[in-house]
Amino acid sequence: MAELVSCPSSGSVASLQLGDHLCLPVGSDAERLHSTAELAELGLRCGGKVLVVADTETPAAMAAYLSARAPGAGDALASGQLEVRAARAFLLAGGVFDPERTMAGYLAQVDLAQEQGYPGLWIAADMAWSLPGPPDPGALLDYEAAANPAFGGHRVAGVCIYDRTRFCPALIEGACGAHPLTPGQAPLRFAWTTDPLGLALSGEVDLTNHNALTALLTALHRTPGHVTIDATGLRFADLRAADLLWGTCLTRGPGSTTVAGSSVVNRLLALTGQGRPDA
Amino acid sequence: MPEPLARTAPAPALVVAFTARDITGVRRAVTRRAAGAGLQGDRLHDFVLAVNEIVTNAVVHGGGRGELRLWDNGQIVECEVRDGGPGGAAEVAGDPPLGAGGRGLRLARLLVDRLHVRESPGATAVRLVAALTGNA
Repeated sequence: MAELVSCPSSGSVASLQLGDHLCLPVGSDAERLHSTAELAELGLRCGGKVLVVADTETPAAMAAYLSARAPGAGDALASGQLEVRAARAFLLAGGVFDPERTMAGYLAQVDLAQEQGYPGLWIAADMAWSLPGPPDPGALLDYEAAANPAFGGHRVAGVCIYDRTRFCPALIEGACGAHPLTPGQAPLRFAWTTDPLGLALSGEVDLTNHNALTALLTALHRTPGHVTIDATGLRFADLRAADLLWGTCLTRGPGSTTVAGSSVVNRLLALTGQGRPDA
Repeated sequence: MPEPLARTAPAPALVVAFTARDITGVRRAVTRRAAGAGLQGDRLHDFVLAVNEIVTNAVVHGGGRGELRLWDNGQIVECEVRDGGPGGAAEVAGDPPLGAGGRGLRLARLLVDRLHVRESPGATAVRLVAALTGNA
């Protein structure tokens, strides 16, 4: 008798850490609200500041829901440790989606949380704010991918919640691919490093998160000096991942990049005939 | 070199229909089944990587979906990946440039003991075989 497989979950709100950027497709308002409360509870439990970006509900309605469902949320709302903002006023200045301004708005909140002494900012975003959607849906996916480098300092964790009943399947699939973490898909975690200067990668890379890895490596293209890509934490990498690492080394120029691979990455590079891309 | 199982082989131990978002789950299921059959170490990783590349090809080049079946008989582990597109799982021929894709099939051939491509109108099936002897 054949085993019929349902894909296991490999990323969830409950497992979120600072530095994580999770895409969470949901099937209902109830599921979205539950995940939002879960994120708020986790962030507060970690001593962090929590920012909930509301759209389907008003901020007042969301705050009331969180007060009832997330332990400590009522006190946190009063103290400012938990904040609920109306997404469109916060992210769509002038009513227009400008990815750079949207990103700047978030980064200002990350800086503010740090100035206020919090160890990190935990964000739950109802992505319905992007509906009915920009003229070019690719702009939203590019924005999601381009956000990834901002998570590498481990000052922020974010969950972007997409309602399957409101977004088309192609956009959901694209959004998942732009995030390093999606339930049931290859989990990629990463951190910018200073000694040595570079990027540390861990987890898995496959078709489901190639675009997230691409965004991280593209950020390295502009980094001056010698950089090290510490890929020793990668348990699985596919051929495309090897190409992306190799391409980064080529773009940066000879001798300016070191790739420290795990045994599986080193074996992959050797098998593909590329040898050491940093050699 | 191990021979693929005959078409009269027993029912597969694993049957999975997949699309792009299932790739990770399919890989884990293949890993569990191949490891359970006795494939170990680098040979297990090589087999799983090869299957992953063929499944990826099926999604990217073969119509976005496919079906995977896996058998084992105590001597070999065999996996078949079928897609619904012309040349998807088998991928394009030739020697494409770096980053252009199209090298997955070539890599897969290096990773398993035997690889067989069968193309028919509108579909491609790739069979990958790893022997259970010679584990690292």
